[in-house]
Amino acid sequence: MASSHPQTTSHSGGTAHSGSAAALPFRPAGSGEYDEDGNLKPKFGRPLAEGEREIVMDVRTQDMEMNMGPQHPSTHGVLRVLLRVDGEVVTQAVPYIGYIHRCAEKIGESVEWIQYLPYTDRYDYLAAMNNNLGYSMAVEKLLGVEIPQRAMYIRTICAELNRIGSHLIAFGTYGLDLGAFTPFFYSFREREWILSIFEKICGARLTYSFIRIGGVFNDAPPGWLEEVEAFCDDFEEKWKEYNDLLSDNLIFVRRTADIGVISKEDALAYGLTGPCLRGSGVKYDLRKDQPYELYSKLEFNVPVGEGKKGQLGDCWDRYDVRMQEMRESVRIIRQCLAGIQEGPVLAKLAAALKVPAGHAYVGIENPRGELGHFVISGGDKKAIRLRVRGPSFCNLSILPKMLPGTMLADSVALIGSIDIVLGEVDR
Amino acid sequence: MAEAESKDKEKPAPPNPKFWEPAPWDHDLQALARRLAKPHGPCTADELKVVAWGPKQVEGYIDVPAAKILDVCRTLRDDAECRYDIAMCISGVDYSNDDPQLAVIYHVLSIEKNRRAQIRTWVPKSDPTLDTVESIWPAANWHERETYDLVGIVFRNHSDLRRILCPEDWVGFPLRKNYEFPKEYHGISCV
Amino acid sequence: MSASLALSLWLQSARLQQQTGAALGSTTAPDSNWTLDLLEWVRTSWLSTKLAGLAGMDQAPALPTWAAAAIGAGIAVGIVIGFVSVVAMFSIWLERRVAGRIQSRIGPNRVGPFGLLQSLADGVKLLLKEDIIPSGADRKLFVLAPALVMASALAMFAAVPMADGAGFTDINLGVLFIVGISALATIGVIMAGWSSNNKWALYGAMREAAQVVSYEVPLGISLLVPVIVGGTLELGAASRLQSGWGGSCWFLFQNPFVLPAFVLYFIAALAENKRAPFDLPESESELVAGFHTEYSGIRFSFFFLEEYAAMFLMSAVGTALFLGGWNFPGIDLLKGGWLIAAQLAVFVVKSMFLVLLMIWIRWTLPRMRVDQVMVMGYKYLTPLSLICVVGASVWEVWAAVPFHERPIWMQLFTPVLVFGVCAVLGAMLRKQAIESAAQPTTRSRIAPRAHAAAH
Repeated sequence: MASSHPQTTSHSGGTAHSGSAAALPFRPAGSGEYDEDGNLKPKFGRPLAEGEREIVMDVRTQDMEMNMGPQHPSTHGVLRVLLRVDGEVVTQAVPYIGYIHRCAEKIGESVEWIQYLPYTDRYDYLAAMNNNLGYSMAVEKLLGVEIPQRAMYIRTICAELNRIGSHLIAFGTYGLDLGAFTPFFYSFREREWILSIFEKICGARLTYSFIRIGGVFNDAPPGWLEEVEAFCDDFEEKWKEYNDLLSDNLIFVRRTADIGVISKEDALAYGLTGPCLRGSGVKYDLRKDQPYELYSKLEFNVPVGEGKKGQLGDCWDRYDVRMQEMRESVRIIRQCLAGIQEGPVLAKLAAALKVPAGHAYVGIENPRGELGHFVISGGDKKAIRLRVRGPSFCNLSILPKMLPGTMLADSVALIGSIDIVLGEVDR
Repeated sequence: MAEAESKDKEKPAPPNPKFWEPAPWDHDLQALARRLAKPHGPCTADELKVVAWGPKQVEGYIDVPAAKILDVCRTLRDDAECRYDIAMCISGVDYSNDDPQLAVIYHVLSIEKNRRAQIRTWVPKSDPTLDTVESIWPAANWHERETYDLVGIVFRNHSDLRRILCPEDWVGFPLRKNYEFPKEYHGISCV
Repeated sequence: MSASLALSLWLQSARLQQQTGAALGSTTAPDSNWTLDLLEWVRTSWLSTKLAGLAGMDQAPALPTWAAAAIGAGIAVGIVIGFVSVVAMFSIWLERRVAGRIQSRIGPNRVGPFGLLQSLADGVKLLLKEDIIPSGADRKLFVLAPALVMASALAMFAAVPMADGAGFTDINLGVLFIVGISALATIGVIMAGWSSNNKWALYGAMREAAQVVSYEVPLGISLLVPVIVGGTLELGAASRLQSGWGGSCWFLFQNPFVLPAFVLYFIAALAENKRAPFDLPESESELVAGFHTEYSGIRFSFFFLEEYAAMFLMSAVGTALFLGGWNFPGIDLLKGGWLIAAQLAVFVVKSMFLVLLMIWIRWTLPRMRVDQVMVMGYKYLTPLSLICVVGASVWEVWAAVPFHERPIWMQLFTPVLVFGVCAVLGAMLRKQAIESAAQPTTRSRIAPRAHAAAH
């Protein structure tokens, strides 16, 4: 019976959903559940004071279940989120992943050490150089091999260029998620240049397999370093355009500030790393705090969220951290260009590599956070266990906590601000 | 092939000592073991076995008894000396077919103290159950689901222990050493 | 189907015009039933006479009135459909080219000169595509929805006078007619969203309903401002009232409250047409494609054409009521057919300029959230448009005499104000752009021994 006369229910004590009420722009309809007396239970009620009554319209509404994904424009791949929605407000979200699961870890146990390298490209395909680097460093740690200086410089340049490329995608697609198309094309314009720079040094545009165990595959061709420098000069000018176009846009700020606030405690509890953690105000960057390769010699800042436009840890802060990181990456690349010297680029290693027995966990700062490679060798040609700790996987795990209480459009903003790559979530 | 191997034996790669030694941010495992033992921690000194850093092992571990994993993790997070606030990686390991046990390795990170540590626990293959540490680090939720999915370790009291990467109706645990690849899945040939 | 709907609407509007014209004393241009004149011209033409001679008659027989009206309406509908299609296709081409420019790419440039025929090619492609109706859909509503949407666009076109005396019709309640008919498209959209049996489409439809109902209010109220200034609801008459000062005495320059009303009207028109930043009903990043998720082929192209036709139409109403209609400085020097052609060109160019503005905004701004859109409509646009109506009324009452009899300072006040506001805004934007470009950057030098000796 769908009568629509107002009922008054007085209830004492908070319901399960108390606390969400403040975050909502308006009070949604009743829960559709009835207590023993036949009174409608309020849904997002706050604990009522003595004598206070809440008026609930007795229209029996039902939450709707929606499948967001696996084919959806804003899930950045084949993420599927099962949403329960009450009008425009999300009340529950269950992410389902694994649509492009390839069991990279099983492959890692089945192929030889060097053969696994191309598979690392495929998990975070937007930052394949960084993946190569993480895996190579883990194996090098077991091998105890010395990397030539020039190789380290080229590795750092490539990793930072790839970080810029990856953050450009994050920037462009974030605009796309919020309905701004043009930043996407601007970011791809610069990314094209990065890809062509990579193409010149390794022949590939997406899956590089360039950073190898023991160094890098080959030396920079003539004119390559000059082109990297020209890119840096150009990019810093273009970076201003991005801010003009999106960062300070009033609609963009309204859509992202105070939306999806991840507190510092939550960020730590859910194991967030990278820009998501720094966006919540935790100044933690592996390149600074646990430096590897050349990073202890380089000068750069670690941008953290400051709550400039809203609360600390909102979507805008995470976005801003990525924008600032791009400039810091340019700084790092410039220092590398100033310091690089000639020399060999690849340590001499056996073709059929046997890696000494042992455990090694190496975490590096990927564009999305800490990419951990945990390798266990039994002293053979193949790994006993090759565990990959993907930053997107861990960052995504906060989704079921963050989504309830947001609006449908905000959920898109939130997923975009976490900046996931499903290739790495599913591995 | 053989030539390359013999060459490798003649000229071994120069050892890089910094890889064999703990970095400044790696917790001294002996000190950590002392901290995890009574009175601060839940374990007795005998229960903790430190597999130290070294050229053979590279990375060290503290082996802790499976029954006390929850208390150990709580100590790791809350103890003033430890303060491990992030569960960075939880991995299930099947070392070999001969091994009657499965290992679960916890890599934890303390942002406050900028330190890392690793602990390991063992569960028998016959009854691979272990307490969940989800209540300590919510991040463990998905890691443990993945470990359950791929290695087949069942976490007691887990809020939502389902397969996460493989389909719900997948048979077997792919990262077990005795795992046999299916010939087909729902009529799709896997060979 | 849409054509027949348009036809019935057309006949109704013609009847309405006759009735109201008879009752109130017609203010429309004398040759507004030019379709009947055309038929009469055809009847007395050389070919018709010869054909009648062959049949043994002195001259071709006069058609009965109902047949003449039907044929006349048919001709008019044909012209309207042709005009709407051409305008919409041109707008689509313009949108894609401008988007290309804004996004530092080229845009379509292969089919025809400057890619002008790209829309035609796309139209042919859409015609040939498979027409899919989802199995769970409400078939009748699903089929009817695009027709209804298209019909509303066509019917609206009938009431827009493009040049002095050359409109299809010029209803003396034109503004009311257009605002009323434009709401018809909303019903079509809701039908499309509901009948698709798709939750995302349903979301789109619900958002459309909420949004259009909300924005009809400020849209209608802001249209009242030029109506108050001009004292007429008839679009052609409003255009004629703006022909002073050699064709530049637009309503925009007659009353200081017309400029804010125009801005409000433009914003409300964006929302009414589901254009960014108010494109919530079809926001592809949230709702996949909103209400037309399940449509394909020719049915989809109806929604697509309607969007651009409605854009042009809203711009045309804005042109007629705010920007002087077909008037332009110096246009009075022309005579006869040239004048009509020039007026038509001026009107279309002005409207296209507003379309261009809409396109520009779409490719620049992110999308708003649904509650923000509602807040903007109800809390800001509606009160502001009411203030404009009150202000404009007070100004007109205070001035008390027709515009050209007012003191010279009062006549000049508004143009100076409008240009002053534009100049200040331009200066602010320019300053911001210069400051942004002047942010410091770092420079570096590659190490002298950076290159390996041999390659």
